[in-house]
Amino acid sequence: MNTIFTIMRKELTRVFKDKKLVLMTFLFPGLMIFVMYSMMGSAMKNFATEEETETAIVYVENMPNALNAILTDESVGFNAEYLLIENLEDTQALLRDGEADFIIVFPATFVDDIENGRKPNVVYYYNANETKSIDTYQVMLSSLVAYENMLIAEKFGDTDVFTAQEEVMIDENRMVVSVMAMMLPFLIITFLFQGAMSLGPESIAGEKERGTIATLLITPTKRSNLALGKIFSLSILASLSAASSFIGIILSLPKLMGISGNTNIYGMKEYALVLVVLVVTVLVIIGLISNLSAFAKNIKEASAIVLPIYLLSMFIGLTSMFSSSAASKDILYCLPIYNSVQILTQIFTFEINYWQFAIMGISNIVIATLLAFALTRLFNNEKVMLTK
Amino acid sequence: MEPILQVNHIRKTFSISKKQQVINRNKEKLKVAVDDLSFNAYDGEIYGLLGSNGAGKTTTLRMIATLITPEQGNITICGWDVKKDANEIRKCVGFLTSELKLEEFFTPSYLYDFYSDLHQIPKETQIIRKEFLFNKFGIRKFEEVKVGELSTGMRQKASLAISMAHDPHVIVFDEPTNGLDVLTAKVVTDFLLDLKKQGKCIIVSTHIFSLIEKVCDRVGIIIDGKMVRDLPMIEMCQNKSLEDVFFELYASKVGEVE
Repeated sequence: MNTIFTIMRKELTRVFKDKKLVLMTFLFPGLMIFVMYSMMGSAMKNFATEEETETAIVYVENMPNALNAILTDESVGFNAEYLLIENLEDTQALLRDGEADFIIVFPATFVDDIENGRKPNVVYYYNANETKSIDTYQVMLSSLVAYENMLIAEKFGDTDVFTAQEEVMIDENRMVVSVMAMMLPFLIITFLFQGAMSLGPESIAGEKERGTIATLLITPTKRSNLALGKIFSLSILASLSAASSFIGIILSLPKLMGISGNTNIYGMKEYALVLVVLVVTVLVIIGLISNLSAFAKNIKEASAIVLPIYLLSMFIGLTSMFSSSAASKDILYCLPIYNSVQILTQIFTFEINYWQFAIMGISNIVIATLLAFALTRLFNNEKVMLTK
Repeated sequence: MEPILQVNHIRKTFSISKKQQVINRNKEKLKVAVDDLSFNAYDGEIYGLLGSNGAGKTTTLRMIATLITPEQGNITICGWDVKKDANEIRKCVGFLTSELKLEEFFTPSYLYDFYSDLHQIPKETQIIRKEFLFNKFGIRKFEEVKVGELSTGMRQKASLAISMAHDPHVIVFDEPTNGLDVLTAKVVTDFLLDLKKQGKCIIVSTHIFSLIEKVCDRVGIIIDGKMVRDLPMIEMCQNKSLEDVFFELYASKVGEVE
């Protein structure tokens, strides 16, 4: 048991005493994610705000004053510059080039036609390739409908048979929950794997590459203790690395998603459950990476061997985005990585099933134990350990 | 006197990769590194294994140090069987080879403590022994300097001290003075003689004739994985130099050296 701690202490010292490694493994991922996502969020917000406040260029011909009054009403919130059409073809060319946003042509006899019961034809143009033109079209169309209703009311009096009142009910926390449940399981698994990938190959294949593994193997340390010491220490390091990324994402997610609600909706219970999932999952991931790294001759080869497993785990992580609820069949909770993704979805949607949680925990511990046993066998295998 | 180390008819083969087969221009899939090799070594003696590169010296030492296992035959050290009691053997054998590296990030002091802990040496003994070995090899000055920043000689001294941390009874040195400057080589040679005086059994593999002539009590000459002669130093040489004896044997077994 003591030798497990000795191995762990050395592995942890190796990382924590190396300032560069600490910076790159624990601080950099979280900080980078926070800065990157926050900047992306701000950029998207600025883009949206710019579009909202930008003045639309609308070319008009014979526009009735009443419609103009509707459009300039503050409650509509439409900011536009109205220009008179001199030549329709030239104006259409401007619209195609994105220099105009909307063209509306009323007949010269529009008001007379309405008063005399004729149906005048209004022609409008917009550019379906331009977002600003589409937005302008939507405002203009709804204003036209409002103007039409106003004219009907003037002619026939109040034609409504009922009144309708719109009340928008939105639970912002619910929105946050669904976003979190979709995004976080994928991100957590990805970051756990990333952290493990940056450390696992270095610790096993790196020792082989540098020739230091042989120095360890001639000590009377039990191979199982060697395997467990490596797995436990790497699990701690990978968890810390993942935690850094996790904190970065939690802090920047509201900005990125443009969520105005409170993202701090989870309590201690949820965080404790997430921690349990992280611990049992990281043991499986580290076990996998350590075993694969043991077969590699050097760090480069180990990283190449682990890469397909990383991509597969990312794909499995994506399953949380396919459905708003977790898998229901108990047997699926025996599948490593997938079970963690599904349980995380359950936790983040407040729909935790403790029976399935237990299946996930036990199955991951069993798999991690088998992987530790396999690593012990590999440490005993001279062909694997001493091949260069 | 009962030998402390008994090597009995050991054999070890290595598979040859297809790439290596192409380089060798030979389709043989197995290379016999050590074949039916036997010798004994006793307390208070230095046993020298002499052979050319690829003769099987290092493979033999790796089997003694439990790093690899013999396919046939057996090795017993201090009464323990290398196949069944590897961990017991690791407690009483110290192995030093250029193949065994120290992690460059750590200092000799840290690594000494680390390997002592793995050997489960009590702290008090650890401190006393560290003081003795570090002074003996002049490591005190650079004990807190990272291994990666040390010269080859300093690294070799640090490795030597660390491999002796558990005060092993049988010491196995593979090319102990290889790549060392004359001063460091002398420190190592003197240390071997010191260990012998303490009654320990030392196995040295080298192709430096002068080193064997200077320190070894018995010599085993290995050619192509086979022990071709195993005699006390005096009987081995008689009126000839060890170099002459070796090349005569080599010529009779393999052919004249061109």
